[in-house]
Amino acid sequence: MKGFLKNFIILVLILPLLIMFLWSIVNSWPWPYILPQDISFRAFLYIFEPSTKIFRILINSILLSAIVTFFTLLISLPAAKALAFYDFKGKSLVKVLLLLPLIVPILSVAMGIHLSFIRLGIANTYLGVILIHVIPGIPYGVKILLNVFELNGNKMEFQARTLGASKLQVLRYITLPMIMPGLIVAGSIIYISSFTQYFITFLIGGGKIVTYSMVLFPFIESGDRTMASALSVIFVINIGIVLYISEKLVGNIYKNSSKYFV
Amino acid sequence: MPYILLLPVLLLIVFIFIAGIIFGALQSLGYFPAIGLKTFTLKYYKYIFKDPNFFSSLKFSLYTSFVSSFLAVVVGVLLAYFLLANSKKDLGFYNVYKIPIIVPHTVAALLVFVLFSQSGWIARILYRLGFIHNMTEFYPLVFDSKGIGVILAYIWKGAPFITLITYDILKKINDSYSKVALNLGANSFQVFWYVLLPLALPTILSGFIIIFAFSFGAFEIPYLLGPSNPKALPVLAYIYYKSIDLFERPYGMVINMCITFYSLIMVVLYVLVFQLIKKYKI
Amino acid sequence: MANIRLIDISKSYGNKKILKDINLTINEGELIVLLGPSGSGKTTLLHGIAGIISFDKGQVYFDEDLINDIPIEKRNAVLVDQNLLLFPHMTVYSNIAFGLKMRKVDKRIIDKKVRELIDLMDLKGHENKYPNELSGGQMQRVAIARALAIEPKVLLLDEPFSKLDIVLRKNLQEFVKKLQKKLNITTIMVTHDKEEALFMADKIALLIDGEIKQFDTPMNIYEKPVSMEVAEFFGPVNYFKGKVVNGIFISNIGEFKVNIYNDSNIIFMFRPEQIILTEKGNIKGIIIKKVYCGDKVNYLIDVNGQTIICSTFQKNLDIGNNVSIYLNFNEAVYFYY
Repeated sequence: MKGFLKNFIILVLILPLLIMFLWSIVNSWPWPYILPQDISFRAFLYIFEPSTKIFRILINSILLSAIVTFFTLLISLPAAKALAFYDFKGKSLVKVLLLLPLIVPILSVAMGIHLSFIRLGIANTYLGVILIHVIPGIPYGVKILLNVFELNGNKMEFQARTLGASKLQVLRYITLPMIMPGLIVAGSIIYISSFTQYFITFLIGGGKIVTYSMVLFPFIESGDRTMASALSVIFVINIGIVLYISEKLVGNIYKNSSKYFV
Repeated sequence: MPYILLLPVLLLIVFIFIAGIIFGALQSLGYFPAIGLKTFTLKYYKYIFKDPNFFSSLKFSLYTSFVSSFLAVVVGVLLAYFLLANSKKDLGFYNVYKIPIIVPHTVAALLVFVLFSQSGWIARILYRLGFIHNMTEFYPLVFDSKGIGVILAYIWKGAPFITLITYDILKKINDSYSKVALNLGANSFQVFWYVLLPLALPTILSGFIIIFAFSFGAFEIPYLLGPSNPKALPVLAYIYYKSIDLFERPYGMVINMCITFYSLIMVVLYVLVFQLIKKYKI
Repeated sequence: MANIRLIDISKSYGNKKILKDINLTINEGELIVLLGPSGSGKTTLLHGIAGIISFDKGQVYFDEDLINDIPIEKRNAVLVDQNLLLFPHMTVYSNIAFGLKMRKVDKRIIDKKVRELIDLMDLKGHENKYPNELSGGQMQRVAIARALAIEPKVLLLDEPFSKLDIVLRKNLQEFVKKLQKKLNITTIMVTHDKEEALFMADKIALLIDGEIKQFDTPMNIYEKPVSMEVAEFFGPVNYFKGKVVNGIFISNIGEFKVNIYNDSNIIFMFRPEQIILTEKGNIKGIIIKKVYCGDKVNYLIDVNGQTIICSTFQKNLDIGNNVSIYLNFNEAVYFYY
């Protein structure tokens, strides 16, 4: 019974992806065949064909999300530190403010701010897209790093200071190495969040800034299963690689990650 | 000092996130100087709140979000419990369940589409097994007015997420409090009902709130898998927003305010639930 | 309440033998302390009796009942963990009532029982508080009350006081000892604190490396240890090596009349407080170190090249002073080597 249940769960988890993979390597797969009849790599060839620019868009998207990740971590780090080690007026309010983007949909916010972005001239630019992508990443960045700081405390920093380390040396030799796992976990989540954003990129980028999600979306919308599947396979592989690298860097990334979400 | 450290993050949150909500609110109240609207009015709210389409959309969004989140929680917690009984020897399985978490929502929509549409893989299997004789006999699960495709996609994405966030806490409770309860004479059902569930409930609820709020306010899955009537709220908001007639925009903003209102309720619940989690300190 | 018999208990984790052929009989109403250094297997033994783990080999009897295969929830052997593990989502009242509720006992009976325990445990007025609103001592008493509520056959205490400060610990030790005698409940307590063990126990089982080295009353185990290992566990000792010829013990600190007639390779043991400084002493020495300990003073005394540690209330001696020592060999413990 247990074995059956386990296999069933694995099937439900994996089967859809398997079918999608099959779709990505067919020429056509008409009703009512259960397995594809006509294998072809036309979709992948199309994706990597330079004239379609899809590969370049993929690289651009990776860079964009990497910048978003770096920037989000950069601003989350001091914020998390402030929340972990200082008591100040309005602390709970700040905590709630930083939590908001986790629950209040970014879509409504993006529609509300769109006009201001146009006025400021940052709509339809990379800057605008990066700024709007940073917002949903902030709760994760702050929360995960806050957790790490609370867990580690700042005793080690003080210990290093008493041993004669300067503030900069403390940051370099104590703080950063100690919070590295948290940075990597948070970074992966922020990266994935940015890389998979469709709607806000589309809205704020105004079609001028094209990310990989935006290439994929119309193919799913129009029901082109082969193209959509091939693009999705690459999409998932890209995310998988990012997670694999972080997992190698911090051990099992998910091992302690549950507390970061709640 | 702490204020300086918080400044960059708060600037972004206040000047983009909060400002976005406020500008949205102003536009929904008819203050939209860019197109010459400068008087505050409730007429857009009145119009939207009289529109039966809006209410069927609201109902559709609430219903699909609630059903999918509820089922995702049930499945996710059971999966976590199942893993708990299983995990030690089975690291491979322990990692497989996380796959849907990293699959983007757009791709999840595609997966539901290739499996559950009338020409999808499930329909083909049923045809081969002789249950149906034609693809039109397969009950339409995608683009259907019951939103089953939308719900399936959200469950597939949401359940492993719930498993992820509840597994650790269930494991901790199982290693300590469950043993105490057994030792005091509780049977396994009583352990689950009186100890495991109530102690994990705040965490489970926080997970529910996150996935509920997400599915309530997200555009991609209902746009790709939902029916054309009724439309989910975010889809409806976007249609008003993107209308060539800029004077339609305030209607979209009213709907956005409605989505924001519901999510702010979720925020309050989340904060309350989180206090419970802190209090239990497991 | 029951007497408990452990017969040939063994337990290994991987290649490591945690418990080696443990045999122990505990009489009804006794308070037994399992004493030992960390890693000696005492908690494993306690968890096995509670049913949280199972032993590899051996039998556990409560009275005449073999309970090896009785599941944890049916054993009626309640464990109070050092982390207490009070249910954080329940009030003091509900925590104490938990075991009875699980047994579906009538509500009025539960109420009566819980109120009795709240009185007994000095918890009046805290019934509706949650664990995070209690002090350490109160939490401790709730944990014990919760265990006692189901009238267990045996109460198992795992380092119950280790997280309390010293004053509170003393108070609770006394409280639990009195309570245990009043209720006459068979109790097994685990600790690594020898003073706690000596104070609390009816009998101490000294567990080292998975073996019971001695099982005896506190007085016997302290004053009449069966081995040097046991002796040393309870604190510093002085050894005098030598041989006995015709009732005379011959050693490098002198010759003494003893109760034994002839024996070679003998070691006499004296605890520091058995080294008596007196004018009429039978040994001469010189003080080489003085350690002030508040209520008493420890002196290191050189006697003919051997250093002796002496613990005494006489505080007025100093390094370099000549002293004379009296050793009472008639009551001394001796070992062979």
